[in-house]
Amino acid sequence: MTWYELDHSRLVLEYLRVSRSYPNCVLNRASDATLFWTGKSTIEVGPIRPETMAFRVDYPEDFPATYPNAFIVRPELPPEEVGHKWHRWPRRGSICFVMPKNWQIGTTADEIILKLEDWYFNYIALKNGLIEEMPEVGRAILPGEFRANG
Amino acid sequence: MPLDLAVAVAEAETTAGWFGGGTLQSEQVFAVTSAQIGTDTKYTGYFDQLFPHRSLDAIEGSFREKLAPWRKIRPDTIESYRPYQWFETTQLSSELSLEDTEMGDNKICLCVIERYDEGPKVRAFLIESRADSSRLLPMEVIMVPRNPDPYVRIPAELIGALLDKRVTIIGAGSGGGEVALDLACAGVGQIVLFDDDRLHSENYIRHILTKREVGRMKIAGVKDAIRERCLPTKVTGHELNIVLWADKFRESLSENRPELVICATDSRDSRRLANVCCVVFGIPLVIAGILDAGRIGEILLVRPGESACYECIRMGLGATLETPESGERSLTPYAGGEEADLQFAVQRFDVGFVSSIATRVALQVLDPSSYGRLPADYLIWGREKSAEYSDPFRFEHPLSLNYVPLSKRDDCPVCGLPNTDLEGLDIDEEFAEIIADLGKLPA
Repeated sequence: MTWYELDHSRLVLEYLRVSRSYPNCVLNRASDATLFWTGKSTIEVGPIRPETMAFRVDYPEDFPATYPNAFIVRPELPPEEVGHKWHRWPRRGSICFVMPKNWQIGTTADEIILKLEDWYFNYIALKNGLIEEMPEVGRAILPGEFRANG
Repeated sequence: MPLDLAVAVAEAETTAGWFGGGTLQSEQVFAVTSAQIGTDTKYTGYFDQLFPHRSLDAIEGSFREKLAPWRKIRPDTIESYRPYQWFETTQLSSELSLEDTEMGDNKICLCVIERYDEGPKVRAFLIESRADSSRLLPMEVIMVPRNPDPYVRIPAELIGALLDKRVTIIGAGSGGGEVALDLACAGVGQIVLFDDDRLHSENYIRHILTKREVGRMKIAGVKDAIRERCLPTKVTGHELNIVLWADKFRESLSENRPELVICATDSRDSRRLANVCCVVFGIPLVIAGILDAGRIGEILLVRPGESACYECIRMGLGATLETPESGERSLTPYAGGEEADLQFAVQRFDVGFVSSIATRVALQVLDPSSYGRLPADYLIWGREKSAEYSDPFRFEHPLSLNYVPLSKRDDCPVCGLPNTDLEGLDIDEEFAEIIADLGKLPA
Protein backbone atom coordinates (compact mmCIF):
# COMPACT_ATOMS: atom_id res chain seq x y z
CA MET A 1 0.00 0.00 0.00
CA THR A 2 1.53 3.30 -1.10
CA TRP A 3 1.49 6.51 0.90
CA TYR A 4 -1.01 8.10 -1.47
CA GLU A 5 -3.35 5.12 -1.34
CA LEU A 6 -3.38 5.45 2.43
CA ASP A 7 -3.69 9.22 2.58
CA HIS A 8 -5.68 10.62 -0.35
CA SER A 9 -5.77 14.07 1.22
CA ARG A 10 -2.02 14.42 1.14
CA LEU A 11 -1.80 13.63 -2.55
CA VAL A 12 -4.63 16.04 -3.34
CA LEU A 13 -2.82 18.75 -1.36
CA GLU A 14 0.48 18.08 -3.13
CA TYR A 15 -1.20 18.15 -6.53
CA LEU A 16 -3.21 21.25 -5.80
CA ARG A 17 -0.23 23.25 -4.61
CA VAL A 18 2.18 22.20 -7.35
CA SER A 19 -0.32 22.70 -10.17
CA ARG A 20 -1.19 26.12 -8.75
CA SER A 21 2.43 27.34 -8.52
CA TYR A 22 3.90 25.34 -11.41
CA PRO A 23 1.14 24.60 -13.91
CA ASN A 24 3.60 23.05 -16.36
CA CYS A 25 4.62 20.29 -13.97
CA VAL A 26 3.41 16.77 -14.58
CA LEU A 27 2.83 14.11 -11.96
CA ASN A 28 3.97 10.66 -13.11
CA ARG A 29 3.86 7.15 -11.76
CA ALA A 30 6.84 4.83 -12.14
CA SER A 31 6.53 1.10 -12.73
CA ASP A 32 7.09 0.48 -9.00
CA ALA A 33 4.09 2.72 -8.22
CA THR A 34 6.19 5.57 -6.84
CA LEU A 35 5.14 9.06 -7.91
CA PHE A 36 7.37 11.83 -9.25
CA TRP A 37 7.00 15.30 -10.64
CA THR A 38 8.72 16.47 -13.80
CA GLY A 39 8.89 20.04 -14.96
CA LYS A 40 10.96 22.88 -16.36
CA SER A 41 11.88 26.27 -15.04
CA THR A 42 13.63 29.26 -16.49
CA ILE A 43 15.45 31.71 -14.26
CA GLU A 44 17.74 34.68 -14.62
CA VAL A 45 20.86 35.11 -12.58
CA GLY A 46 21.74 38.77 -12.81
CA PRO A 47 22.78 39.29 -16.40
CA ILE A 48 22.98 35.55 -17.09
CA ARG A 49 20.18 33.60 -18.73
CA PRO A 50 21.11 29.98 -18.19
CA GLU A 51 19.71 26.99 -19.99
CA THR A 52 16.18 26.11 -18.96
CA MET A 53 16.31 23.74 -16.00
CA ALA A 54 14.48 20.43 -16.27
CA PHE A 55 13.90 18.81 -12.92
CA ARG A 56 12.38 15.84 -11.23
CA VAL A 57 11.03 15.40 -7.70
CA ASP A 58 10.62 11.80 -6.48
CA TYR A 59 8.42 10.88 -3.56
CA PRO A 60 10.07 8.19 -1.42
CA GLU A 61 8.17 5.09 -0.34
CA ASP A 62 8.08 6.32 3.26
CA PHE A 63 6.80 9.81 2.37
CA PRO A 64 5.91 12.04 4.17
CA ALA A 65 8.04 10.67 7.03
CA THR A 66 11.10 11.44 4.92
CA TYR A 67 11.72 14.06 2.27
CA PRO A 68 11.39 13.74 -1.53
CA ASN A 69 14.51 13.56 -3.67
CA ALA A 70 14.99 16.49 -6.02
CA PHE A 71 17.15 16.25 -9.15
CA ILE A 72 18.25 18.57 -11.94
CA VAL A 73 17.76 16.52 -15.09
CA ARG A 74 18.99 19.16 -17.53
CA PRO A 75 21.50 20.69 -17.95
CA GLU A 76 23.50 17.60 -17.14
CA LEU A 77 25.56 18.30 -14.04
CA PRO A 78 29.16 17.08 -13.79
CA PRO A 79 29.09 13.95 -11.59
CA GLU A 80 32.08 15.19 -9.62
CA GLU A 81 30.17 18.26 -8.45
CA VAL A 82 28.75 16.62 -5.35
CA GLY A 83 29.29 17.06 -1.63
CA HIS A 84 28.83 19.98 0.71
CA LYS A 85 30.31 22.61 -1.61
CA TRP A 86 27.74 21.83 -4.27
CA HIS A 87 24.91 20.95 -1.93
CA ARG A 88 24.33 17.67 -3.71
CA TRP A 89 24.19 14.22 -2.12
CA PRO A 90 27.23 12.23 -3.20
CA ARG A 91 25.67 8.98 -4.33
CA ARG A 92 22.40 9.89 -5.97
CA GLY A 93 23.29 13.41 -7.02
CA SER A 94 20.02 14.76 -5.65
CA ILE A 95 19.93 18.31 -4.38
CA CYS A 96 20.51 18.80 -0.66
CA PHE A 97 17.74 21.18 0.28
CA VAL A 98 17.17 20.09 3.88
CA MET A 99 19.08 18.30 6.59
CA PRO A 100 17.22 14.99 7.02
CA LYS A 101 16.57 15.63 10.71
CA ASN A 102 15.09 19.04 9.92
CA TRP A 103 12.59 17.75 7.36
CA GLN A 104 9.15 19.16 8.09
CA ILE A 105 6.37 16.73 7.31
CA GLY A 106 4.06 19.54 6.21
CA THR A 107 6.40 20.63 3.39
CA THR A 108 4.84 20.05 -0.03
CA ALA A 109 6.46 19.54 -3.44
CA ASP A 110 5.87 23.12 -4.61
CA GLU A 111 8.18 24.32 -1.83
CA ILE A 112 10.79 21.80 -2.92
CA ILE A 113 10.59 22.97 -6.53
CA LEU A 114 11.17 26.50 -5.25
CA LYS A 115 14.27 25.22 -3.46
CA LEU A 116 15.39 23.57 -6.69
CA GLU A 117 15.14 26.94 -8.44
CA ASP A 118 17.12 28.53 -5.62
CA TRP A 119 19.75 25.85 -5.93
CA TYR A 120 20.02 26.36 -9.68
CA PHE A 121 20.30 30.11 -9.19
CA ASN A 122 23.13 29.65 -6.71
CA TYR A 123 24.84 27.06 -8.87
CA ILE A 124 24.88 29.30 -11.92
CA ALA A 125 26.05 32.22 -9.81
CA LEU A 126 28.91 30.15 -8.42
CA LYS A 127 29.90 28.71 -11.79
CA ASN A 128 30.03 32.20 -13.25
CA GLY A 129 32.02 33.67 -10.41
CA LEU A 130 29.25 35.89 -9.11
CA ILE A 131 29.49 34.36 -5.62
CA GLU A 132 32.23 32.49 -3.81
CA GLU A 133 30.11 29.79 -2.24
CA MET A 134 26.56 28.52 -2.33
CA PRO A 135 24.50 29.66 0.68
CA GLU A 136 23.00 27.06 3.05
CA VAL A 137 19.46 28.23 2.38
CA GLY A 138 17.67 30.55 -0.02
CA ARG A 139 19.14 32.47 -2.93
CA ALA A 140 22.54 34.04 -2.81
CA ILE A 141 22.69 37.80 -2.71
CA LEU A 142 24.55 38.85 -5.81
CA PRO A 143 27.06 41.69 -5.80
CA GLY A 144 25.40 45.07 -6.34
CA GLU A 145 26.13 45.42 -10.04
CA PHE A 146 24.34 42.13 -10.80
CA ARG A 147 21.47 42.49 -8.38
CA ALA A 148 18.84 44.21 -10.52
CA ASN A 149 17.76 41.07 -12.37
CA GLY A 150 18.60 38.65 -9.62
CA MET B 1 11.02 -35.98 34.60
CA PRO B 2 8.88 -36.01 31.46
CA LEU B 3 5.33 -36.89 32.35
CA ASP B 4 4.90 -39.31 29.43
CA LEU B 5 7.66 -41.61 30.74
CA ALA B 6 6.30 -41.47 34.29
CA VAL B 7 2.88 -42.58 32.98
CA ALA B 8 4.45 -45.35 30.88
CA VAL B 9 6.37 -46.71 33.82
CA ALA B 10 3.38 -46.49 36.17
CA GLU B 11 1.19 -48.40 33.72
CA ALA B 12 3.76 -51.08 32.88
CA GLU B 13 3.52 -54.67 34.15
CA THR B 14 7.13 -54.69 35.20
CA THR B 15 8.11 -53.14 38.52
CA ALA B 16 11.75 -52.25 38.04
CA GLY B 17 14.00 -50.82 35.38
CA TRP B 18 16.32 -47.97 34.46
CA PHE B 19 15.86 -44.37 33.44
CA GLY B 20 18.29 -43.03 30.88
CA GLY B 21 19.18 -39.39 30.60
CA GLY B 22 21.92 -36.93 31.15
CA THR B 23 23.44 -34.90 33.88
CA LEU B 24 24.52 -31.35 33.48
CA GLN B 25 27.31 -31.22 35.99
CA SER B 26 27.17 -27.51 36.68
CA GLU B 27 23.48 -27.68 37.58
CA GLN B 28 23.39 -31.02 39.44
CA VAL B 29 20.43 -32.02 37.37
CA PHE B 30 19.56 -35.35 35.84
CA ALA B 31 17.22 -34.93 32.88
CA VAL B 32 15.35 -38.17 32.11
CA THR B 33 14.95 -38.85 28.42
CA SER B 34 14.22 -42.60 28.23
CA ALA B 35 12.90 -45.47 30.32
CA GLN B 36 13.89 -49.09 30.10
CA ILE B 37 10.70 -51.07 30.67
CA GLY B 38 11.23 -54.80 30.39
CA THR B 39 13.09 -55.37 27.16
CA ASP B 40 11.87 -52.13 25.57
CA THR B 41 13.33 -48.66 25.79
CA LYS B 42 10.81 -45.86 25.51
CA TYR B 43 11.97 -42.34 24.67
CA THR B 44 10.15 -39.22 25.79
CA GLY B 45 8.11 -37.26 23.30
CA TYR B 46 8.83 -34.09 25.26
CA PHE B 47 12.48 -33.90 24.35
CA ASP B 48 12.13 -30.31 23.17
CA GLN B 49 10.74 -29.32 26.57
CA LEU B 50 13.79 -30.74 28.30
CA PHE B 51 16.71 -29.73 26.17
CA PRO B 52 16.33 -26.50 24.25
CA HIS B 53 19.02 -24.79 26.28
CA ARG B 54 21.12 -27.85 27.13
CA SER B 55 21.87 -29.22 23.71
CA LEU B 56 24.93 -27.01 23.36
CA ASP B 57 26.20 -28.19 26.74
CA ALA B 58 25.92 -31.70 25.38
CA ILE B 59 28.03 -30.71 22.41
CA GLU B 60 30.53 -28.94 24.64
CA GLY B 61 30.87 -32.10 26.73
CA SER B 62 29.56 -31.00 30.10
CA PHE B 63 26.42 -33.06 29.64
CA ARG B 64 26.97 -36.74 30.49
CA GLU B 65 24.81 -39.72 29.83
CA LYS B 66 23.65 -41.44 32.96
CA LEU B 67 21.34 -44.20 34.16
CA ALA B 68 19.24 -44.24 37.30
CA PRO B 69 17.18 -47.21 38.55
CA TRP B 70 13.44 -46.88 38.93
CA ARG B 71 11.14 -48.99 41.10
CA LYS B 72 7.38 -49.13 41.05
CA ILE B 73 6.07 -49.45 44.60
CA ARG B 74 2.72 -49.66 46.30
CA PRO B 75 1.23 -46.26 47.06
CA ASP B 76 2.23 -44.84 50.44
CA THR B 77 4.95 -47.49 50.99
CA ILE B 78 7.65 -44.89 51.05
CA GLU B 79 5.79 -42.83 53.67
CA SER B 80 6.92 -45.28 56.35
CA TYR B 81 10.54 -44.33 55.73
CA ARG B 82 11.14 -40.87 57.11
CA PRO B 83 13.77 -38.95 55.21
CA TYR B 84 17.22 -38.72 56.79
CA GLN B 85 16.37 -41.40 59.37
CA TRP B 86 18.54 -44.53 59.42
CA PHE B 87 16.95 -47.96 58.72
CA GLU B 88 18.27 -51.48 58.35
CA THR B 89 19.67 -51.89 54.86
CA THR B 90 18.10 -55.32 54.36
CA GLN B 91 14.66 -53.96 55.21
CA LEU B 92 14.97 -50.99 52.88
CA SER B 93 16.48 -52.97 50.03
CA SER B 94 13.75 -55.57 50.31
CA GLU B 95 11.03 -52.94 50.20
CA LEU B 96 12.59 -51.23 47.22
CA SER B 97 13.61 -54.44 45.42
CA LEU B 98 17.26 -53.47 45.49
CA GLU B 99 20.17 -55.86 45.84
CA ASP B 100 22.27 -55.28 48.94
CA THR B 101 25.25 -55.11 46.64
CA GLU B 102 23.59 -52.27 44.74
CA MET B 103 23.35 -50.32 47.97
CA GLY B 104 27.07 -50.73 48.62
CA ASP B 105 28.95 -47.99 50.41
CA ASN B 106 28.13 -45.35 47.84
CA LYS B 107 25.15 -43.11 47.43
CA ILE B 108 22.85 -44.24 44.65
CA CYS B 109 20.04 -42.35 43.02
CA LEU B 110 16.68 -44.11 42.91
CA CYS B 111 13.37 -43.09 41.39
CA VAL B 112 10.21 -44.51 42.88
CA ILE B 113 6.93 -44.41 41.04
CA GLU B 114 3.60 -44.73 42.77
CA ARG B 115 0.46 -45.20 40.75
CA TYR B 116 -2.57 -43.22 41.83
CA ASP B 117 -5.92 -42.76 40.06
CA GLU B 118 -5.08 -39.11 39.36
CA GLY B 119 -1.78 -40.08 37.78
CA PRO B 120 1.71 -41.28 38.65
CA LYS B 121 3.71 -39.77 41.47
CA VAL B 122 7.44 -39.77 41.01
CA ARG B 123 9.90 -39.26 43.83
CA ALA B 124 13.66 -39.51 43.81
CA PHE B 125 16.09 -40.24 46.59
CA LEU B 126 19.74 -40.57 47.18
CA ILE B 127 20.20 -43.74 49.23
CA GLU B 128 23.11 -43.44 51.58
CA SER B 129 24.40 -46.68 53.15
CA ARG B 130 26.72 -47.09 56.09
CA ALA B 131 27.53 -50.56 57.60
CA ASP B 132 24.11 -52.22 57.87
CA SER B 133 22.13 -49.02 57.85
CA SER B 134 20.73 -46.94 55.02
CA ARG B 135 18.69 -43.76 54.76
CA LEU B 136 16.77 -41.83 52.12
CA LEU B 137 17.88 -38.33 51.16
CA PRO B 138 15.00 -36.75 49.20
CA MET B 139 15.71 -35.06 45.88
CA GLU B 140 13.55 -32.55 44.06
CA VAL B 141 11.59 -33.93 41.11
CA ILE B 142 10.26 -31.51 38.56
CA MET B 143 7.61 -33.00 36.32
CA VAL B 144 7.65 -31.78 32.73
CA PRO B 145 4.27 -31.93 31.01
CA ARG B 146 3.84 -31.72 27.25
CA ASN B 147 2.02 -28.39 27.38
CA PRO B 148 2.57 -26.66 30.69
CA ASP B 149 0.14 -23.87 31.52
CA PRO B 150 2.33 -20.79 31.92
CA TYR B 151 -0.55 -18.74 33.31
CA VAL B 152 -1.22 -20.82 36.43
CA ARG B 153 -0.32 -17.89 38.66
CA ILE B 154 -1.98 -15.13 36.61
CA PRO B 155 -5.67 -14.34 37.11
CA ALA B 156 -7.63 -15.82 34.22
CA GLU B 157 -9.60 -12.64 33.61
CA LEU B 158 -6.40 -10.69 32.94
CA ILE B 159 -5.29 -13.20 30.33
CA GLY B 160 -8.73 -13.66 28.81
CA ALA B 161 -9.10 -9.97 28.03
CA LEU B 162 -5.91 -9.96 25.97
CA LEU B 163 -6.06 -13.24 24.06
CA ASP B 164 -7.86 -11.73 21.08
CA LYS B 165 -5.66 -8.62 20.92
CA ARG B 166 -3.25 -7.93 18.09
CA VAL B 167 -0.13 -5.81 18.53
CA THR B 168 2.44 -4.78 15.94
CA ILE B 169 5.91 -4.08 17.31
CA ILE B 170 8.50 -2.21 15.28
CA GLY B 171 11.98 -3.11 16.42
CA ALA B 172 13.00 -6.38 18.10
CA GLY B 173 16.06 -4.97 19.81
CA SER B 174 16.65 -4.75 23.53
CA GLY B 175 13.55 -2.61 24.06
CA GLY B 176 11.21 -4.13 21.48
CA GLY B 177 12.20 -7.70 22.36
CA GLU B 178 11.53 -7.06 26.03
CA VAL B 179 8.15 -5.47 25.31
CA ALA B 180 7.18 -8.35 23.00
CA LEU B 181 8.01 -10.90 25.68
CA ASP B 182 6.24 -8.87 28.38
CA LEU B 183 3.09 -8.56 26.29
CA ALA B 184 3.11 -12.25 25.41
CA CYS B 185 3.49 -13.12 29.08
CA ALA B 186 0.61 -10.77 29.86
CA GLY B 187 -1.55 -12.76 27.45
CA VAL B 188 -1.61 -10.82 24.18
CA GLY B 189 -2.83 -13.22 21.50
CA GLN B 190 -1.06 -11.99 18.37
CA ILE B 191 2.17 -10.10 17.85
CA VAL B 192 3.57 -8.97 14.52
CA LEU B 193 7.26 -8.02 14.64
CA PHE B 194 9.18 -5.84 12.20
CA ASP B 195 12.98 -5.82 12.35
CA ASP B 196 15.70 -6.44 9.78
CA ASP B 197 18.61 -6.79 12.17
CA ARG B 198 20.63 -9.77 13.38
CA LEU B 199 21.88 -10.28 16.91
CA HIS B 200 25.48 -9.12 17.21
CA SER B 201 27.81 -10.06 20.02
CA GLU B 202 27.60 -6.53 21.45
CA ASN B 203 23.79 -6.75 21.58
CA TYR B 204 23.13 -9.50 24.07
CA ILE B 205 24.33 -7.52 27.05
CA ARG B 206 20.98 -5.71 26.88
CA HIS B 207 18.83 -8.13 24.89
CA ILE B 208 16.50 -10.93 26.04
CA LEU B 209 18.53 -13.21 23.74
CA THR B 210 21.90 -14.66 24.64
CA LYS B 211 25.20 -15.44 22.96
CA ARG B 212 23.67 -18.64 21.62
CA GLU B 213 21.50 -16.56 19.30
CA VAL B 214 24.35 -14.43 17.91
CA GLY B 215 23.97 -14.26 14.16
CA ARG B 216 20.25 -15.04 14.17
CA MET B 217 17.59 -12.60 13.04
CA LYS B 218 16.39 -10.88 16.21
CA ILE B 219 12.74 -11.51 15.39
CA ALA B 220 13.43 -15.26 15.04
CA GLY B 221 15.11 -15.26 18.43
CA VAL B 222 12.31 -13.28 20.08
CA LYS B 223 9.77 -15.60 18.50
CA ASP B 224 11.61 -18.59 20.03
CA ALA B 225 11.90 -16.86 23.40
CA ILE B 226 8.12 -16.57 23.46
CA ARG B 227 7.58 -20.11 22.17
CA GLU B 228 9.94 -21.58 24.73
CA ARG B 229 7.72 -20.19 27.47
CA CYS B 230 4.82 -22.19 25.99
CA LEU B 231 2.83 -18.99 25.58
CA PRO B 232 -0.19 -19.15 23.30
CA THR B 233 0.82 -15.94 21.53
CA LYS B 234 0.96 -16.25 17.77
CA VAL B 235 4.05 -14.38 16.59
CA THR B 236 4.60 -13.33 12.99
CA GLY B 237 7.89 -11.82 11.91
CA HIS B 238 8.72 -9.50 9.01
CA GLU B 239 12.45 -9.21 8.43
CA LEU B 240 12.04 -5.70 7.11
CA ASN B 241 13.03 -2.16 7.97
CA ILE B 242 9.72 -0.29 7.80
CA VAL B 243 11.37 2.84 6.43
CA LEU B 244 12.83 0.96 3.47
CA TRP B 245 9.70 -1.17 3.04
CA ALA B 246 7.04 1.34 3.98
CA ASP B 247 4.52 -0.12 1.52
CA LYS B 248 4.78 -3.55 3.21
CA PHE B 249 4.36 -1.94 6.61
CA ARG B 250 1.19 -0.13 5.54
CA GLU B 251 -0.13 -3.34 3.98
CA SER B 252 0.47 -5.19 7.22
CA LEU B 253 -1.44 -2.58 9.22
CA SER B 254 -4.23 -2.59 6.67
CA GLU B 255 -4.58 -6.38 6.70
CA ASN B 256 -4.04 -7.09 10.39
CA ARG B 257 -5.69 -3.99 11.86
CA PRO B 258 -3.84 -4.31 15.17
CA GLU B 259 -5.34 -2.75 18.27
CA LEU B 260 -1.95 -1.17 18.98
CA VAL B 261 1.38 -0.43 17.33
CA ILE B 262 4.54 -0.09 19.40
CA CYS B 263 7.57 1.60 17.91
CA ALA B 264 10.67 0.62 19.87
CA THR B 265 13.36 1.69 17.45
CA ASP B 266 16.10 4.26 17.86
CA SER B 267 15.34 5.77 14.48
CA ARG B 268 13.59 9.11 14.05
CA ASP B 269 12.41 8.19 10.55
CA SER B 270 10.72 4.98 11.65
CA ARG B 271 8.97 6.84 14.49
CA ARG B 272 7.73 9.48 12.10
CA LEU B 273 6.54 6.88 9.62
CA ALA B 274 4.79 4.83 12.29
CA ASN B 275 3.19 8.01 13.60
CA VAL B 276 1.87 9.10 10.20
CA CYS B 277 0.52 5.64 9.38
CA CYS B 278 -1.11 5.10 12.76
CA VAL B 279 -2.79 8.49 12.77
CA VAL B 280 -4.27 7.90 9.31
CA PHE B 281 -5.32 4.32 10.15
CA GLY B 282 -6.64 5.44 13.55
CA ILE B 283 -4.51 2.90 15.42
CA PRO B 284 -3.09 3.84 18.85
CA LEU B 285 0.70 4.00 18.89
CA VAL B 286 3.24 3.75 21.69
CA ILE B 287 6.68 5.19 20.95
CA ALA B 288 9.38 4.23 23.43
CA GLY B 289 13.01 5.23 23.36
CA ILE B 290 16.11 6.02 25.33
CA LEU B 291 17.83 9.39 25.38
CA ASP B 292 20.97 10.85 26.84
CA ALA B 293 22.97 7.63 27.10
CA GLY B 294 20.37 5.80 29.11
CA ARG B 295 19.71 8.53 31.66
CA ILE B 296 16.33 9.44 30.18
CA GLY B 297 13.52 7.38 28.77
CA GLU B 298 10.67 8.69 26.67
CA ILE B 299 7.33 6.95 26.25
CA LEU B 300 4.57 8.52 24.19
CA LEU B 301 1.08 7.16 23.66
CA VAL B 302 -0.59 8.54 20.57
CA ARG B 303 -4.38 8.19 20.56
CA PRO B 304 -5.31 9.26 17.02
CA GLY B 305 -7.83 12.06 16.96
CA GLU B 306 -7.64 12.40 20.72
CA SER B 307 -4.13 13.14 21.97
CA ALA B 308 -0.91 14.70 20.74
CA CYS B 309 0.99 12.73 18.10
CA TYR B 310 4.78 12.38 17.70
CA GLU B 311 4.83 15.32 15.30
CA CYS B 312 2.96 17.47 17.85
CA ILE B 313 5.70 16.66 20.36
CA ARG B 314 8.42 17.59 17.90
CA MET B 315 6.65 20.86 17.12
CA GLY B 316 6.04 21.52 20.81
CA LEU B 317 9.69 21.12 21.66
CA GLY B 318 10.46 23.34 18.69
CA ALA B 319 13.92 24.31 17.57
CA THR B 320 15.52 22.90 20.71
CA LEU B 321 14.65 19.42 19.57
CA GLU B 322 17.70 18.96 17.40
CA THR B 323 21.40 19.60 17.80
CA PRO B 324 22.11 23.33 18.12
CA GLU B 325 24.26 24.31 15.14
CA SER B 326 26.33 26.67 17.25
CA GLY B 327 27.29 24.03 19.77
CA GLU B 328 25.52 25.91 22.57
CA ARG B 329 24.08 23.89 25.41
CA SER B 330 20.93 22.11 24.34
CA LEU B 331 17.73 22.48 26.32
CA THR B 332 16.65 18.92 25.55
CA PRO B 333 18.43 15.56 25.65
CA TYR B 334 18.02 15.19 21.89
CA ALA B 335 21.37 16.87 21.28
CA GLY B 336 23.21 13.69 20.36
CA GLY B 337 20.50 12.66 17.94
CA GLU B 338 18.00 9.93 18.70
CA GLU B 339 19.75 7.26 16.66
CA ALA B 340 23.03 7.67 18.50
CA ASP B 341 21.63 7.59 22.01
CA LEU B 342 20.73 3.96 22.39
CA GLN B 343 24.18 2.88 21.28
CA PHE B 344 25.56 4.37 24.48
CA ALA B 345 22.78 3.35 26.84
CA VAL B 346 25.06 1.87 29.40
CA GLN B 347 22.91 -0.56 31.31
CA ARG B 348 20.37 -3.21 30.55
CA PHE B 349 18.17 -1.98 33.39
CA ASP B 350 17.83 1.45 31.75
CA VAL B 351 16.20 -0.23 28.81
CA GLY B 352 14.28 -2.48 31.19
CA PHE B 353 12.70 0.44 33.03
CA VAL B 354 11.60 2.07 29.80
CA SER B 355 10.29 -1.11 28.21
CA SER B 356 8.37 -1.97 31.37
CA ILE B 357 6.72 1.45 31.37
CA ALA B 358 5.99 1.06 27.66
CA THR B 359 4.37 -2.31 28.34
CA ARG B 360 2.22 -0.81 31.07
CA VAL B 361 1.18 2.02 28.74
CA ALA B 362 0.35 -0.54 26.06
CA LEU B 363 -1.76 -2.59 28.45
CA GLN B 364 -3.92 0.38 29.35
CA VAL B 365 -4.86 0.61 25.68
CA LEU B 366 -5.44 -3.12 25.24
CA ASP B 367 -7.37 -3.70 28.46
CA PRO B 368 -8.43 -0.37 29.96
CA SER B 369 -10.72 -1.93 32.55
CA SER B 370 -7.89 -3.90 34.16
CA TYR B 371 -5.06 -1.45 33.58
CA GLY B 372 -6.29 2.02 34.47
CA ARG B 373 -5.49 5.09 32.46
CA LEU B 374 -2.28 6.88 33.42
CA PRO B 375 -2.37 10.60 34.26
CA ALA B 376 -0.85 11.63 30.91
CA ASP B 377 0.08 10.13 27.56
CA TYR B 378 3.64 11.52 27.44
CA LEU B 379 5.93 10.05 30.08
CA ILE B 380 9.54 10.99 30.70
CA TRP B 381 11.58 8.74 32.96
CA GLY B 382 14.82 9.89 34.58
CA ARG B 383 17.45 7.60 36.01
CA GLU B 384 19.21 10.40 37.90
CA LYS B 385 18.28 13.58 39.67
CA SER B 386 18.98 16.22 37.04
CA ALA B 387 18.44 19.87 36.22
CA GLU B 388 20.63 19.71 33.15
CA TYR B 389 17.82 20.25 30.68
CA SER B 390 14.62 22.25 30.60
CA ASP B 391 11.22 20.76 31.44
CA PRO B 392 9.98 18.10 30.99
CA PHE B 393 13.50 16.64 31.16
CA ARG B 394 14.24 17.79 34.73
CA PHE B 395 14.05 15.27 37.57
CA GLU B 396 13.82 16.10 41.24
CA HIS B 397 14.65 12.56 42.30
CA PRO B 398 16.39 9.55 40.78
CA LEU B 399 13.99 7.18 39.04
CA SER B 400 11.41 9.94 38.58
CA LEU B 401 8.57 9.65 36.13
CA ASN B 402 7.28 12.94 34.73
CA TYR B 403 3.73 12.82 33.42
CA VAL B 404 3.61 15.51 30.76
CA PRO B 405 0.17 16.77 29.74
CA LEU B 406 0.19 17.62 26.05
CA SER B 407 -2.60 18.63 23.75
CA LYS B 408 -3.10 17.84 20.13
CA ARG B 409 -2.01 20.75 17.94
CA ASP B 410 -4.39 22.22 15.40
CA ASP B 411 -1.42 23.16 13.19
CA CYS B 412 0.12 19.69 13.24
CA PRO B 413 0.55 18.50 9.63
CA VAL B 414 -0.18 14.92 10.71
CA CYS B 415 -3.07 15.08 13.17
CA GLY B 416 -4.13 18.74 13.12
CA LEU B 417 -7.07 20.43 11.43
CA PRO B 418 -7.55 19.73 7.71
CA ASN B 419 -5.49 22.01 5.49
CA THR B 420 -7.46 25.10 4.43
CA ASP B 421 -6.40 24.48 0.81
CA LEU B 422 -8.61 21.41 0.84
CA GLU B 423 -11.74 23.09 2.17
CA GLY B 424 -14.82 22.31 0.12
CA LEU B 425 -13.16 19.61 -1.95
CA ASP B 426 -14.45 16.09 -2.35
CA ILE B 427 -11.11 14.42 -1.57
CA ASP B 428 -11.89 11.00 -3.00
CA GLU B 429 -13.24 12.51 -6.21
CA GLU B 430 -10.18 14.74 -6.57
CA PHE B 431 -7.92 11.79 -5.83
CA ALA B 432 -9.56 9.66 -8.51
CA GLU B 433 -9.10 12.45 -11.06
CA ILE B 434 -5.43 12.86 -10.18
CA ILE B 435 -4.78 9.14 -10.57
CA ALA B 436 -6.65 9.10 -13.87
CA ASP B 437 -4.61 12.05 -15.14
CA LEU B 438 -1.16 10.81 -14.13
CA GLY B 439 1.41 11.63 -16.80
CA LYS B 440 -0.69 14.50 -18.17
CA LEU B 441 -0.45 18.25 -17.64
CA PRO B 442 -2.94 19.43 -15.01
CA ALA B 443 -6.26 20.52 -16.48
